Amino acid sequence: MEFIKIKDELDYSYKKYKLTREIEDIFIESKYIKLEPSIFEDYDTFTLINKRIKKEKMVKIIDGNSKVLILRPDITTNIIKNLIPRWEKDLTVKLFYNSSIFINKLDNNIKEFKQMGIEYLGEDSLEADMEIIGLVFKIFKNYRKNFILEIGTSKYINALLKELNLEENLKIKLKNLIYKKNKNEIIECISALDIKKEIKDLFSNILDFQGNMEEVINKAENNYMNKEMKLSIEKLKDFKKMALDYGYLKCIHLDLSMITELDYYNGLVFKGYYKNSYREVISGGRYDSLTKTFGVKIPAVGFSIDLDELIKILYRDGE
Amino acid sequence: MDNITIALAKGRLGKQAYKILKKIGLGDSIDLDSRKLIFKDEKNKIDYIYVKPSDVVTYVEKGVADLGIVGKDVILENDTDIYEILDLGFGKCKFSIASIKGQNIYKKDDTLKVATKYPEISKKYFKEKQQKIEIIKLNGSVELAPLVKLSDVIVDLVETGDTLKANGLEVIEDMFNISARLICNRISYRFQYDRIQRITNLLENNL
Repeated sequence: MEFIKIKDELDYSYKKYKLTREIEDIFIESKYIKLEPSIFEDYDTFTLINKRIKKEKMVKIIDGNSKVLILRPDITTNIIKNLIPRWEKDLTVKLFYNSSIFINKLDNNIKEFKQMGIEYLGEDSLEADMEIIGLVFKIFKNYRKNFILEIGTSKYINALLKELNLEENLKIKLKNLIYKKNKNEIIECISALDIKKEIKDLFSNILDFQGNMEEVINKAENNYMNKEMKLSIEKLKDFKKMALDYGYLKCIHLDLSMITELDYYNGLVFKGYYKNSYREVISGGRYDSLTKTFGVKIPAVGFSIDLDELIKILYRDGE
Repeated sequence: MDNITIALAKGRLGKQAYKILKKIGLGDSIDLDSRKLIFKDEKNKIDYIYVKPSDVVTYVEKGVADLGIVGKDVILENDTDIYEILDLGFGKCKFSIASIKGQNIYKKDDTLKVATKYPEISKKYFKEKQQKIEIIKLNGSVELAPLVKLSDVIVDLVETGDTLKANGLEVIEDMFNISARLICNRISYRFQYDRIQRITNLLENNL
């Protein structure tokens, strides 16, 4: 944000810092420890893991040995990469960060975004997932009543995509169409494939698998093509029970067709919106498969907060 | 209940959108002959805004409008983060590469000069075909470019092909099919899911 008057800028800065402190306090209270990640990423490693972040969106730089690096477009990758090589068995780690990420925009200007978030490593359980969701609710409830947490499970959709055995380009294309909720072109895309009718039908109707958690789970229970999909629904059922106990269900929309921009999620995924936000304020999920690409598979779940977006919403409302 | 805002594109597409909205019992408040830019429908709790086609995606992406009706050409050219929830079927045409009759477009080593109103779509398309190009951005009468040797080919929307023919050009390759689409803001999609679903279904059943 830019300001003409110094006073306005300071006022904004004050509010932003206060907000940051409040959220950091929530993390510290829950025993999360702050970590300061590195600003650089290796271009090759990063593009290998994240196929859906467009290459032109990454801010590239060249080091003294002519190696191509990028300024981190995401902090989670960065943290994991540094911790995994030193990982000890049975370790659980709870940490948070508050740093900038860098992305090239369409007009070729580099944009800096503040990103804040947490990671819970070493614990693969419903309780861990629920602790994370609990923190999301705590933050959201702190500022506004009207919010929606959109949740999904990347296992369901990925296991369904596996049935198609697509080559990488076509898979990305189909995932993009699902992301865009483009029913007509999803149908067009898969009608050309030589696959079982029931798989075709499920893809054609995949966008109907969203809404009230109870209803969607009931519907999905009879709509799976393999064990993995069935298992992912079983897990959601357990999740639903617990979410009901905590009173979270009212604000949750389940969307089984949810596709995340980052490819490394495998399990619970979620995005949180305030009613007058312009993009998601919080996004995250379970990403055990990311850790695997760095050598050891350890359970990991976390989320990031778009602080700029959050402050914009609160500031716009004159608080 | 909050009002839903629908952005309509000025011009022919807007007129067709108006017709279909009328058909499903909405859009009574719209008067395209007036110079007004906002139409309020208090009964159905819908506001319509009437804007330039290329601005429809902007209004929807920024959340000023929840829904929009706009051509696929505009969506492709702008590459914005919106949901594209229904193919409305009208406003059909094609994105095509055209040139003087008999020209072979793909040059292995040379750069191909492409005149167009749609630089982003052209760049993306030829990149996939691994053809080096130079974009010449024009704002109209694109057909002239190959005739006066400003470009090798043009990339443009082709409906009937009459303008091409009249200028001695022909389609060399069809790129994409274009039609009007119903687009939706990502956050509105969540918060107004049921209402938007209802409007979408009504439209779909009346195409």
